[in-house]
Amino acid sequence: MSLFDLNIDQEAIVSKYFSKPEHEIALKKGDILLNQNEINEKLFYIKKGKLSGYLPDKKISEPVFEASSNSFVGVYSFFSKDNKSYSRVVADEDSMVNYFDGNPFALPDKDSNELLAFLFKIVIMELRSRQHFAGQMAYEHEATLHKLIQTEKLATLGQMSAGLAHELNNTIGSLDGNLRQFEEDISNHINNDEIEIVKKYYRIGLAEGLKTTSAEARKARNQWEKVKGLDKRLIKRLAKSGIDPKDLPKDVEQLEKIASFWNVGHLLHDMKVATEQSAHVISSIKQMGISTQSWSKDVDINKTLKDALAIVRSLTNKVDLKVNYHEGITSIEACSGELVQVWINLIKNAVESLINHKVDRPTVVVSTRETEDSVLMVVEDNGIGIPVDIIEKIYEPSFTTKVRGLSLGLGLGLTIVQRIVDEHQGTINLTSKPGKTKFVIALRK
Amino acid sequence: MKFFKLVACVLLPLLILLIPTEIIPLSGITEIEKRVIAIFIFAALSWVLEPIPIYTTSLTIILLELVLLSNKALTFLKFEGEDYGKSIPYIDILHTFASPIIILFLGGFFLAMAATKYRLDQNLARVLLSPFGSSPKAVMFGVMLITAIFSMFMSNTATTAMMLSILTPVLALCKPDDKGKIGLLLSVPVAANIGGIGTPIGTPPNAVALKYLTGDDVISFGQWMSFAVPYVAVLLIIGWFILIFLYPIRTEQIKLDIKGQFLKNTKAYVVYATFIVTILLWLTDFIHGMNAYIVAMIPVTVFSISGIINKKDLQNISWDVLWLVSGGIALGLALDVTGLADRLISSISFENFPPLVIITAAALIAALMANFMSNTATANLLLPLIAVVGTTVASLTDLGGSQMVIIVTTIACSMGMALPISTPPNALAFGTGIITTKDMAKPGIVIATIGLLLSFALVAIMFLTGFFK
Amino acid sequence: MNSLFIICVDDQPEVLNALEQDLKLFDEKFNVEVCDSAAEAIELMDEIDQHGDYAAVVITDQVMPELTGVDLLSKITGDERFHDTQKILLTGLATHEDTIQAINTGGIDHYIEKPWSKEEITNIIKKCLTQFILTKGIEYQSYMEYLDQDTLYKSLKTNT
Repeated sequence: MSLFDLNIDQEAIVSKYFSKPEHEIALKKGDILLNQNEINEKLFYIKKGKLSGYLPDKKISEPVFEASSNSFVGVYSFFSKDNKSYSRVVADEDSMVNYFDGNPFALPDKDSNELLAFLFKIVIMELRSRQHFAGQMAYEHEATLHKLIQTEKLATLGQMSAGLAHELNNTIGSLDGNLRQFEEDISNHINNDEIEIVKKYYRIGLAEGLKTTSAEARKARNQWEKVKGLDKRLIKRLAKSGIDPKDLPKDVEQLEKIASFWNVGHLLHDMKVATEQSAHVISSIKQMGISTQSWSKDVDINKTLKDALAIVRSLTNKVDLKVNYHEGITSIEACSGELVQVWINLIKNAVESLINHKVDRPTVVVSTRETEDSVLMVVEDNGIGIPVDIIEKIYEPSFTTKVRGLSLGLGLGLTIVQRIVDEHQGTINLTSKPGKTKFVIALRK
Repeated sequence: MKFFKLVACVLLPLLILLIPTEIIPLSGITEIEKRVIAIFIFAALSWVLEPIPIYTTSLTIILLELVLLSNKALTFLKFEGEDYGKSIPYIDILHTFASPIIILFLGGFFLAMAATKYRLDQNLARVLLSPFGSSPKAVMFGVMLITAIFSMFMSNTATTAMMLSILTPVLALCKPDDKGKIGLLLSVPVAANIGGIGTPIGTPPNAVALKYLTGDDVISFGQWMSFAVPYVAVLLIIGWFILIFLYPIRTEQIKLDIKGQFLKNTKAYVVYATFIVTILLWLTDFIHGMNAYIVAMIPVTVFSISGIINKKDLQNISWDVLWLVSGGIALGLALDVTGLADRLISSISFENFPPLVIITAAALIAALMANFMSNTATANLLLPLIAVVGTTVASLTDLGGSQMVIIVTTIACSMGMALPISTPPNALAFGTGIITTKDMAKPGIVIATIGLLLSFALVAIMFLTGFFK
Repeated sequence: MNSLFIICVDDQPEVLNALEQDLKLFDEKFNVEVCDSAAEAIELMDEIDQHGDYAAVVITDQVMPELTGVDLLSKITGDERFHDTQKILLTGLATHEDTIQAINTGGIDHYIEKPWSKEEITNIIKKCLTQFILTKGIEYQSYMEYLDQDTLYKSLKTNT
């Protein structure tokens, strides 16, 4: 037989034992009903209001239990041997309590049985509710901790990348500076000492870099092979330069020089491009940790898109790119550098997913739009879409979804986007299905 | 099991070696001849039971002959006197390694290797197969025709391997319950086995036969082809009908996909030219007087000089096939020089048998043996004896003598194609797992029976047209 | 005499250029060719084969648009014409899966991690060339200075 089957009328018990007017206590919010370790021989019934128990000796700010109207407090100390309260019981709001004072065993048999049976039930109920409360607390605690760790991780990642970026920034800075000096010196020498045609091809190499594809170079080699007296290496170099054999002297010594200086020019060009690229990568990493750019009141998002497209041109060459500007778009208060980052990351994301999945006729559409209260940044692609199971995770910083290694983009990309949009108090809206994935970022005017 | 086989192969010949000559029921048999009998029995047993690879049996034969029969044999095994018999010059025994037959085969190997290396085979197959369209029956005939032609100049095994690699991807596209798949698959080994008959270098038994066609009986490369190619053609068509009848194809379309294009570089041209020139020279010996053996040295030399076949490729030559033939030649040599073959044949009164019985028996024995053991080993064992039968039995001499019996027997050696173990091409086709032994045996037996009958018809026609002079 | 080719494949021209520079020493006796896509490499190998020359070594980047390095190597492995061609995967970042595929279907002979050192890549290519020359039975004496002595000795020891 379950104890709870005993037909015990709580109302009857309460009116019989917890209703003496002289036992009524009114508590104001913050009043202490019981102190920790205080001797207590009373059992309190909460008529209305709410009380909580704390453990001041453990320096825990969270309560260990909560009790609201129609429940009992002081249960432990009332029944325990030394009658000491283990917690401090404080009123959370204005409350009204009534207590039973005395020894239930000393009552007449009938009353004693009735009361004890009731109290027994109370004790069990109390046990259960406190256990439940403890579980709930543990769960909340866990969640908080997890959140904390996540935040810490992100902070570490931010600090790390900022540190890394700072380190590399100096190196790249020195490379860039030295390279410029180097180029100047070489250019001076060549301009002073060499004949016109050598200068010309040095400059072409420096300005244009390597323009021929490997297949074109091979084809051009056939033409150069017709010129007599050239050795295999010289032919290879000349063919790579993309120079038409008809435009050049047939003198081997001069050809040797031209090829050589064109090569110097194009190597310098390549190094400059590489330095620029490194600097760009570093600046994107820096964005992850700290924002270096300042805010402005009149940022034109059309301009931010233009800037971004200039940077990612090498990427967008690989796909069909359509750009729609909303003419005369309202300026907003924003950090323009960060908005460029948003564009770059979204476009990169789209292009890379198209290329990695070998989508047929890869197309990316970028547009700016304006609604009543917002300006919109829209990036759309015709890729395979983002699978439902990872759509929740795409903003988490992760390096693993990447196929392509060098271009530090996607893994951090969407994390950066989300951080920036959050900073601008904007919203990201993502819709994705095979053949159409669309990011819409709304920024308030 | 292998051990008992080996014991059997060793004990029986040893027993013969140890018994006195008098016990053997052959009048006037010498010690040397008795030893030849022992070696012959060892050869026959090891080639049938195969306790050791067949080419190693050949090597053992040569070693045994050198030790037991040659003029440089172990001294204490030799003795003076009439009943010792006639020993064989050791140099003749060693010469079997470089017998003209071996050189002819080497020439064939070089041609085949160069053709494969410069993808002449693949490209020819592609060009030659294209006129046959996509109707399965036509494609099957095309495959058979090309397999047969190729196997005339390349090893039957290599040809089969190449054609199967072209055919098997197509078979996968056939309806799963289509019996025609079996027919298509079998068409390759059948055609390879038949095609091998076409030229002296088509299959080793032919080369072994040439060895016994000497003196007045000599048959040139061109002459061989003149009767063998028509025979191959007729049997190929019959084989095609039989396969189509037994395994009707229900798949409506078959598309063979062979990729590639003819190589166009100097070395490839050298290969093409040498190939054509060699075959032309083989066919026109009556004009220039160089026999097939001499012509065979041309591709060997040209390909070596031009680096088309280099040192590494030399390692890929099937020396085992060449040595297998050498052993057979050495065995024939021993039978012949010691006079044992004559004594053996003359002791059996073949004169009493009608010539048709002798021919039929020879062909049946050869075909039966070839089904269970190597075709070449069969030829190695039978042809030296058959050759003597052909020259000594008068009733046969009138019908074409050695040439006639040797041709019939040699063709019969290629009729062993009923079982997966019969020939390497059969084993390869069986290895695809698409066919069962029964699938293979049915057409194998039918085609072989028709082939034997057809070979009789062939020699009859040759006799009537005066081929045998 | 047939020429031997060393084929470098990478979609980034700067990498190709650097690779070509580092392999300059082989250009004397061999042909070092660069291709910026797998498709181009396949075309080139076809051409080399048509001329009766040898595609001895292929070095390819893994991450390329369209066909990846492993795709290319798998194609080469499946082509009996290039059965003996030595295959090297040169990559900055290959996933675990890529690597497994490279070994199982690409049949790679060597794996080089970016960034490479000139010495490392030279040694590996020497090894590959030696292996190729020996398997093809090409006269190796004239290439002596480009061969890996260790590989050479090991192979020649077993020859008669």
